[in-house]
Amino acid sequence: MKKRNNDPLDLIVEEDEVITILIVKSIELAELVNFSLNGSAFPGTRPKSEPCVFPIHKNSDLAMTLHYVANSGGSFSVQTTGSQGGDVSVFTDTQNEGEAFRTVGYSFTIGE
Amino acid sequence: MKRKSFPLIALTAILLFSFTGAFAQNAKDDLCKKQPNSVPCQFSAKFGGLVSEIVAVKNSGDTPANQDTQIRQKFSATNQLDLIGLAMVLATEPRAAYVKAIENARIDKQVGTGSASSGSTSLLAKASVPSILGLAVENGALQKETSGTTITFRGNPVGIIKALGDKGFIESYDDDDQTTRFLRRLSFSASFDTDRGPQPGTFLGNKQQLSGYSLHFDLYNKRDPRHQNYRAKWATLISGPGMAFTQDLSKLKSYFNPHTNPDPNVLAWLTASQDALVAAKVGDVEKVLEDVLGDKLRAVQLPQQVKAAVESFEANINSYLTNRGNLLKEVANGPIVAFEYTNNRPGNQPNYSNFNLIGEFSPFNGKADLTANASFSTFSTKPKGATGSARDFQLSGQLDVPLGDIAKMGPFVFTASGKYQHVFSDITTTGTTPTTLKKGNIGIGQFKFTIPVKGSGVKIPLSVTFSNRTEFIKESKVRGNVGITFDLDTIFSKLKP
Repeated sequence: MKKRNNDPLDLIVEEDEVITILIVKSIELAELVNFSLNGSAFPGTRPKSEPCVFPIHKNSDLAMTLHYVANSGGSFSVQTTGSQGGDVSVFTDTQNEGEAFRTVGYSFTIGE
Repeated sequence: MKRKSFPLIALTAILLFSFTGAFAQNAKDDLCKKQPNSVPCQFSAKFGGLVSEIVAVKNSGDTPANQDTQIRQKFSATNQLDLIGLAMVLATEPRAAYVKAIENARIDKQVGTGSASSGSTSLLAKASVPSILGLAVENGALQKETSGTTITFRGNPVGIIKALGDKGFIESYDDDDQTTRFLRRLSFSASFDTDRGPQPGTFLGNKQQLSGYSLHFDLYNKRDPRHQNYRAKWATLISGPGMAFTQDLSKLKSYFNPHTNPDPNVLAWLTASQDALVAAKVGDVEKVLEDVLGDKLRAVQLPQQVKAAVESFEANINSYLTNRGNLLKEVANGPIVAFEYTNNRPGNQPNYSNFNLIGEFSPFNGKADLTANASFSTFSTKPKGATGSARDFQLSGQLDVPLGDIAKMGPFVFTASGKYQHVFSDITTTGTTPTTLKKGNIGIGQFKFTIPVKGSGVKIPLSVTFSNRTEFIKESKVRGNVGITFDLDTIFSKLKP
């Protein structure tokens, strides 16, 4: 797995590479996280304490939603790795005042 | 029983001209602070955050090429998937909804700037203790409050751990594990009176200026959103509408991805928006972002499939935000029982310790707030003439009943409060005008009706107070009383440009 232009959300992967997403820092987050690959209900709603593991067979879009349990003070770090090694992607964010949730997208592009 | 307890009650009336501005209130109260669970308020929260991030990149001193890359990554369909989704929802509504959301974002930013500047350590650089406390405040480990000449620092172990985590000192941190859940129930504070000591007005943070410290422990707290009683409700919210809108955003994202399901119109809009933000001067970032997410996005011709995804997102996000708002309302109305220990060092009277049991409830399905305290105080050192170490015993209670928004003037509130105190020995203060709190029983009660004056920021409380002791209150007969409370923050907020 490789980050395009050092962007932790724009990732170049090998075909059938297995991706692992892990929440390594969680402050004021709900216990569950939503993941949707290409608009589907997969990988689905998962406990934040468990790694989310899924394969990439084609160019894909993933949306991930983390839910804040309060209106301020939240933050998180998400680490993404690939089964073929390479870069480790870390995305970190801090809750804006009043923000209820945070959805970020990942682009997975088969090797270029 | 009560009548026998107060045979000498001289009902006493007090005229209250209390300029006790409701500091918790500010301009943001009128907008999104109380009810952030709406699309415009979520948009404004995220919008304000992005403006700050882009401005920070432009002020970073990094090379133009690096700034270009960073700004494009900040305003991308990956990083800002939620903001772009919310903007697309607002773009389908009348333009006024978007303008309102932008106004909210501006006011949020003003409020944020004010609180940040108040946390400056410029007043805290005189000695090592203030520097350490100031550093802790700047890094979010402690909170600082200033009232008159007293500076109070509050914190809790979890806050300190969180601050360390934010600074990267801790590699992995989850604030929902067993240990953190327990530590979250504990908090502490320390107050310093800067008028004490050889340099009045200068904060030294030494023992002489220490005017009190406290430890607080939540015995039972259903106002914690992570309380086990709410787990099933969070799960329903997240796995239902939360999952549904995440799928909508995943679909929307594909229209911005040249490698999956690109739509040329939205891709062109995104590229043009990034170009405009890269070219914008620091002072124009907010205006440019407002334009690209407003009029420019509104002008994009969206194909039917994109429109359908936006419509689905709108329905699901509204369902999610409504249910989240209801859940947080239920959390806010949960009961709390806490124990608090306070060591008071008033300076003009003997030091004493206070042990306080606090209960907060919201009876009548959250339509009222009831607070009750039971406390016992002992002298740290028995003063001369005192019969023992016991100082006083207190019982107090307050019931607040919001009566609703009558004639659209604002919330009317009825308050009933009472306090009973038994003082075990005479307590005399030192100083130029010594006063004595005589031993015995003290009973004080008050009924208050607070009436807001529409659009003025003024609240008029009508109150009657009665007590059996008159040494601090000169009146001795019952009268009708009118007091006026000015909510100064609201007035000042209207004067802001």
